[in-house]
Amino acid sequence: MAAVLGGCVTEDEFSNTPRGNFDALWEIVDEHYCFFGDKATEYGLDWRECRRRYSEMLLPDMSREQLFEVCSKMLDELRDGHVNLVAPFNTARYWDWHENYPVNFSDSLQRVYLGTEYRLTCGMKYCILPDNIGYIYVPSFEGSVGSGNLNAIFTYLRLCNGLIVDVRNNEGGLLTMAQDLAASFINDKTTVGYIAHKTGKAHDAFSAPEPVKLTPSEGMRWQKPVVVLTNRRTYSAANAFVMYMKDLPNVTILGDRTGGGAGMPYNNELPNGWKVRFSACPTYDIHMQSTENGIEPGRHVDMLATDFAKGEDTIIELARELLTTPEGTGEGE
Amino acid sequence: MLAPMLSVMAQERESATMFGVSGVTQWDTYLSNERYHGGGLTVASQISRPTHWMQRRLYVQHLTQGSLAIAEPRSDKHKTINGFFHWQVGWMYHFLASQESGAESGGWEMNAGAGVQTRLGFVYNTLGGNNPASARAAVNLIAMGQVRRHFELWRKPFMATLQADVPLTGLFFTPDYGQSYYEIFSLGHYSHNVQIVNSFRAFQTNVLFTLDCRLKARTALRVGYQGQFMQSKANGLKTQDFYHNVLIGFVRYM
Repeated sequence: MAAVLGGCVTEDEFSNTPRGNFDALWEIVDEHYCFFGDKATEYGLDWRECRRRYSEMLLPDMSREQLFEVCSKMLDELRDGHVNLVAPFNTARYWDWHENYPVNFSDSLQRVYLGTEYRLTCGMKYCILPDNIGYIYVPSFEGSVGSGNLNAIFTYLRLCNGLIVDVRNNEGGLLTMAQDLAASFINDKTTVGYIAHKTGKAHDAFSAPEPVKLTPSEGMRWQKPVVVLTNRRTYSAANAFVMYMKDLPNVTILGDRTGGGAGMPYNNELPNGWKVRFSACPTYDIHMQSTENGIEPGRHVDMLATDFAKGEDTIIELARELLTTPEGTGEGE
Repeated sequence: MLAPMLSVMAQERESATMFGVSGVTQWDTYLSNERYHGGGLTVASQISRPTHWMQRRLYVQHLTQGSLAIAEPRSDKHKTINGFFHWQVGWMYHFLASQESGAESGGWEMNAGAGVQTRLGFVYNTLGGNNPASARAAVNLIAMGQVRRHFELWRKPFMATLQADVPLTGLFFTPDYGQSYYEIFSLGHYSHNVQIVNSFRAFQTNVLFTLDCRLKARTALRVGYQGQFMQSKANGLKTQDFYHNVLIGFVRYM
């Protein structure tokens, strides 16, 4: 009976050989990756040509390390930080989105601002700076944050004149946590972007983008000026957080361009058990622009070596200046 | 002694509790291209009782079942945890295939009818990511058929039963090809997520073979095999959940 029924829904399996694993990897990406169109326009990516070129490097008796290198090189062609190949002995990754740019963050300098008496909730460090500016550092969106946690933070900071939300070096996590935090800065249900998904194997088979709407937090909501600090390692869910925030009133994005990562990643596996991760669901800002290659800040500023030598973080200092002068936040205009 | 076996279905309320071990084949291209094989446990309750309709020849049968299984792909590097809850109710008409149904004559019984079947379940894959799990949900109108054979062995009355349930139509849930559960449940975006059951999109059938040996006047030992075959092909996604269950339990007649 099972054989009869099984005959209705079948698919050939790839063999657990170098060729089988290579073909499985190529096909998984070919059928599910969501940025082929963008990459073809941007730098002429031809995924079929990649298969031809890299499959010539396959040998029946090649070692697993050699196969891993060939597969990794092929995945590098996607130039996507959300694309990984994970084997027990190595993880292939594409990190040019931040490795080729200034760091624009120093945890040593951050310690100067946070001190040792800072508060810590759900991984978020927060304190009140001497000029009565609130500072929250969000190192990751892994995990979750409850309304009680956010209430505690904003209650503590409620008398501050302005707020700095620092998402530098935040490489993402859960979109829901990014949304929960952003929901503390809106007063009405707000469309903050769009999301689509693939509807089939074709590279251009996508659903119509649907709005991502944020519902205001039921707890305390921040009404004063906000500066969001970014650098090239602001990626994935943190990039989405910046995308949600950038068009809100009273919000200034400051620092370096974000790293991007606008495709929600999915996982799959090869016959040999290696895990492959790839961008699967594209997201767009409220102007229907992809943020896969990052978001340009409202004010671009890099950390200066002279400031670093003085023990100052150029980006935090400029944020404080913006929040303590009416001109800086637009209130004086 | 053998009198209670006569026309059991039409005369008595029958309550069976069964425990079993499962051999599982699981495949869901939303989660992974690889097929997973493993094992698990299942527990089922099957209650049949005659109604007052059609000279008590129409009886109602409830089947409630829960299963949990763990499976691995050929690489053994990852796992899926599979769980489902199955409930169905059906009404079957009791035919007497032979003139003298019952153990003395080696009689046959035939029963047929229709019912409603619901299934809820999940497959969680340790691969993780934004597609770590897949939900199963279906409501089906089913056709039910049952054949029973009474016989005597080692001076004990036995009853062999073969039952098959096949969906006629229904509805089942599936994500769209590349749709995330974040879109479905956090954002409330619908994208062809409810599909109609037919032989092209989804097929779910349940085959149950049991052998009952009466130990006492109102108690029987039951052993059996259950095959549950569920598969779907919709939105470019393919799923298969095949369960082969070996069952043991007791039946109470009231």
